Amino acid sequence: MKPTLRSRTLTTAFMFVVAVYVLLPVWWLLVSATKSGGDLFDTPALWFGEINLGTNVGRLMEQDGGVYPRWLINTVIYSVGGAVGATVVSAMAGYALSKYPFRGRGAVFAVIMFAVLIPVPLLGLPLYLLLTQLGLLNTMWGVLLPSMVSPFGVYLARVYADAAVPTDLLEAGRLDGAGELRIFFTVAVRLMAPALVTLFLFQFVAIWNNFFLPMIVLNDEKLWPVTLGLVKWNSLRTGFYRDMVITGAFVSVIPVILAFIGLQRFWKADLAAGSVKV
Amino acid sequence: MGKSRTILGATGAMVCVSLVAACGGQPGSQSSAAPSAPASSAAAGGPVTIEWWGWAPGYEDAAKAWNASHPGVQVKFTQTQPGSQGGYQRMLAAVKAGNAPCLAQVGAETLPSFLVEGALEDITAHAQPYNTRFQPWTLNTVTFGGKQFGIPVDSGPMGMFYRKDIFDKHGIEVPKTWDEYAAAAEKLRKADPEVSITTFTPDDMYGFAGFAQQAGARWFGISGDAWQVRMNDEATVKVANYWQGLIDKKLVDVMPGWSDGLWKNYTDGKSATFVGAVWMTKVLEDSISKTSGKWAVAPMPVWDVASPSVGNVGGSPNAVLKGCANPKEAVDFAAWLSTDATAFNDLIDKGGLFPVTVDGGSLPNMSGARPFYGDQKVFQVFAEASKNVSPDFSWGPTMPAVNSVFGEAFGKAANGKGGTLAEAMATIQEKAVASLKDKGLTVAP
Repeated sequence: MKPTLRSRTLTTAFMFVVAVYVLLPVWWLLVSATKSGGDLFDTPALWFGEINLGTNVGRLMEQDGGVYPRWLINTVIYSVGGAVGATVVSAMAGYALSKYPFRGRGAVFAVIMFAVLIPVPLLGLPLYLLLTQLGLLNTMWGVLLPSMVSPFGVYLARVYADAAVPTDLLEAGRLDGAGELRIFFTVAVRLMAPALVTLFLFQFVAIWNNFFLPMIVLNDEKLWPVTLGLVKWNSLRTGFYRDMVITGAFVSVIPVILAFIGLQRFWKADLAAGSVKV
Repeated sequence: MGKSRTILGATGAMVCVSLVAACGGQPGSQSSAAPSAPASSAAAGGPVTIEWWGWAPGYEDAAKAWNASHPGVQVKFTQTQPGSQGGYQRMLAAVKAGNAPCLAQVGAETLPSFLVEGALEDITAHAQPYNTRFQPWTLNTVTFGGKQFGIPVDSGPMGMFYRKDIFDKHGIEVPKTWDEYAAAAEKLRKADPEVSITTFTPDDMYGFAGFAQQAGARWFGISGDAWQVRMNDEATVKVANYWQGLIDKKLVDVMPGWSDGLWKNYTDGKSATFVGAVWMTKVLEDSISKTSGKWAVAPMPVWDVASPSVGNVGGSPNAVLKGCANPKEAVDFAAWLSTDATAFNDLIDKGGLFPVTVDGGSLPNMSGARPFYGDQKVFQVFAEASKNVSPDFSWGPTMPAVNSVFGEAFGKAANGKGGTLAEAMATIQEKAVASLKDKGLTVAP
């Protein structure tokens, strides 16, 4: 059944307004990143002045001894490493909770659900004390390990495994003599792929934007992710650094956009597939 | 929560001391992760290491300079996030974990918070020999209940940045008092309806505090073992009413502080003065570079020509954190940083810091001519001003909470969305008292 012209027009108009609302700040960022410091307040906020993007990016890469590229690489390490880890851990935990009956399964799941409700900043001090004792303060692992924990991810993986991985199929695998690990990696992971892509993207973006955890853990500027670096520059509050903050923010959103465009194919197709299966 | 704490957070301090003792007292225990325990190296006769956390540009080089000339006391500087962006949270966490640095950059407005958390060492005895070098009012910002908890580093005496060309063009004299300032505001509006005397930034509590301080306000104080809160005292209300008058007559523009709109106003020449702290010197140069050469600096307008007191905004002392094994060495270094002529002369240049010492005005970098201000030796104006800073102003232990209440209440009033600035101050006073009581602190009536 085709929707009527009227409802299609209305929907399109509504989506257009939402799109403008969402994209406007990104547009401002793009436009502002091309301006020299003086032009920022001197030219229309939402249109280009003299294009200085190349100069700005060049300065950005060399500022403070070229520390920005370093921050960017760190962010990539934290985001990719943390998101891959979180996806693997969540997938395994969710699958186990879904497919293996064991004593206390309900309790374990309840505890994990409860963890979803705890605001992250509340964990700052305990985490700091814990990392101090483990000797992980001011190390990359101090950021990576906590990033690999995602209670919501476990929940999502479990719910998805419940719906998308038929227990009969696992039985068939066992009858054919496959070990549990092999069944998990060759059968379950493929069936759970859409949820895992979603999970990876969520966690990737969350770590990419994370400020609190690295702030608590890291002392050394060379280990900082982009978020910490930009906040530091922004707090210096001179015009020179303002240019760097804007350009730096612009450059730092590009990889996220690329990650979404690259993974969106799987995501879209699979979400639809999932909904049909469910 | 309801348990009341003594003024200096003694309860918290005791916990910390015992925690630190527990952590530091067992060599080879789990605390090995903590960055170096200076006590042991001192006992062994090797050089003492002082850990130092901060974020001011130039500190790293200062530490290097000290280390080169003081082999017995080595300072290890670590750059942190600026305090309000998480640096303070991290310092307090480190104090609780027992691995805090000996020395840390803690803003004057945040020292009282650290104090009630029990995160500071009393350094009165160690600091005493150095105190004659400092402007007395700067010592008041680090002294609570008669005990000293920090070594002042920099200050932000206020002055008036003004567009010389605009005043000249309309033949208006540069105001020396607040009465003249209001009169100049009227003349300016008459001469050019597009131009206001200034852009008022109601959400900037620290800036307004500077105005109030100048008039003699004392927002926080300590009486016996209770905090005094007087955010709507007579002087503050006088200042609030003064600005309310200018807003009512539409003689000033109103914009949020640090906003694009604010800078655009100044870039476009729509406001003729900016009354602010010395560190605005560079901020203006960078933010509104298009107007270079048209500005000049004059002393802040005063209430009373006979006693020309001025306000101060900002200042980040170095404080010795709880658990420091070598407080004396930490203080020695901190005092050197603030008072050594070569060291501080560099900080003026690299960090944009303004000295707190009695003779700071004579440092070479204080007399640079700045093209943005028509080659005026701007810092000399502020050096003069810093001698006249109203001496009795200090901060309270809940400034972040008070700040957010302030921004909201003042913003509403200044934008004509309810009440006057003076009424807003009464609300802020109430909430400030409540925020102290929420922390379990005693508030004197």
